[in-house]
Amino acid sequence: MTDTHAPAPAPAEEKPSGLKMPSAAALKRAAGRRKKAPTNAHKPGRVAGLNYDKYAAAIIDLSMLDPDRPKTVQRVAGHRRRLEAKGYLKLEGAPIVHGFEAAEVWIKTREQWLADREERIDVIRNKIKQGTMSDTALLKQRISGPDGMHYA
Amino acid sequence: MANQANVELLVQREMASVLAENLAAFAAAGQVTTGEGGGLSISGRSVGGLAVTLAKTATTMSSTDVANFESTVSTVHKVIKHTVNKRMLATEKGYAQIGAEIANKIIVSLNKDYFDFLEGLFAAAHPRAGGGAFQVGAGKKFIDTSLAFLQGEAGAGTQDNLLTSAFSEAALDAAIQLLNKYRDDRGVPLHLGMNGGLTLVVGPKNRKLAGEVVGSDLSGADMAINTLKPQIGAVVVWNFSTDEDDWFLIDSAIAPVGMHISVAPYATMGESTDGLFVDFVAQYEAAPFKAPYEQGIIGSNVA
Repeated sequence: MTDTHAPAPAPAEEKPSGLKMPSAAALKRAAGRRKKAPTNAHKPGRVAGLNYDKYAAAIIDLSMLDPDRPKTVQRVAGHRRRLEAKGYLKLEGAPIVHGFEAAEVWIKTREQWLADREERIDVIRNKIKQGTMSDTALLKQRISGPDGMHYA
Repeated sequence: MANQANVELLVQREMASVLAENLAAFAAAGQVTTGEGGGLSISGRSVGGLAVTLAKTATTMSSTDVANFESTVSTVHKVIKHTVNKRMLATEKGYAQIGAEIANKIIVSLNKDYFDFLEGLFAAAHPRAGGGAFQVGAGKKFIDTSLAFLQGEAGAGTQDNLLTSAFSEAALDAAIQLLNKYRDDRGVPLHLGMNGGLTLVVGPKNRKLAGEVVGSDLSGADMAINTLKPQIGAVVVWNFSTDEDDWFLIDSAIAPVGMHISVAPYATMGESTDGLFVDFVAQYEAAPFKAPYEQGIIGSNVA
């Protein structure tokens, strides 16, 4: 392993400061990382590095998890059970979620997520038929815009 | 001879009806408009952008495009009707309470129209779905990820008003961040939610946690000041029909969703033409609506 704090030889004109300066190589490596910090373009709630074209993620906030407080442990366990029951798999590898100090990420394929979302329309439609949901749940509006008229 | 002391004393007691509560929930979770029946048109525009510097030597300046979208919703007449034999009314005391209960239930129905509509927004087509200019992308839903702004133009980007997170302190903070960062179609940051007044809508399952997260003076993890508390003006608990994990954060001042009421709920009681029956009728005319622009609402749906 490279010692990043090996003292670099001071230039002849520079007086020894007593500071332990990083090596030129370590400075170069650090410069290589200079654009890796999250920018304003990062979206809160998104998993860093996850290919969202292929996968959908569900997030569990772990920042309030305290092993000494059973309520918080039970809450997280409840979230895990829900995600398992919704067909998600836990993503390993310490993923980072923007906006979350500590989070657990569960994923399913984007294809499955889209299918599940569409299935919700069927669920709503059935509930409307059964009379347990209002028919306004799928109410469409007439939209007029520069591209003409349609319903949404 | 009967022993009078053993005669059972009957006390007739009428239990008060259990009436639904939380009747004005929809009013806290969206805009309420009133007006003529028939329909409501909601306009929204793509106007502006970042101003450009006009050089002192310039003699011309090109203008940028604007667009107007209009969303029209038709109100729906909703009715509950009971017909009761007049003799029943005369002999059974409990039937006299029907009027009060039906009035209560019709308001529940109005509430449910709105919140069922809210749940449907995860699957409802976005009014500006499409791949052209001023649109948000093909196949997009009203609450979705990667909604486009400045589509096909310089500075184009996407933004989310959909989270996929179980309700928690950090998830709520992420939702507020999304609102704070939200841009209009011209890419102008709107800084929504900066002045508080946000409404959090959760299911009964998340009621306790929402109360703790929003109401505590200190934040849960590090016991520092709870900055979420002044941001949230109201917590509305609604019994969702399809997924109790859902939750919404709505900027109630500029909410892109709401309820248009052309006839407020009311109940009447009237004798049938043959004089044999009494009709109890409760009704209203209204419709939930969504604006052409989605700014002002964040939803979380763990599908």
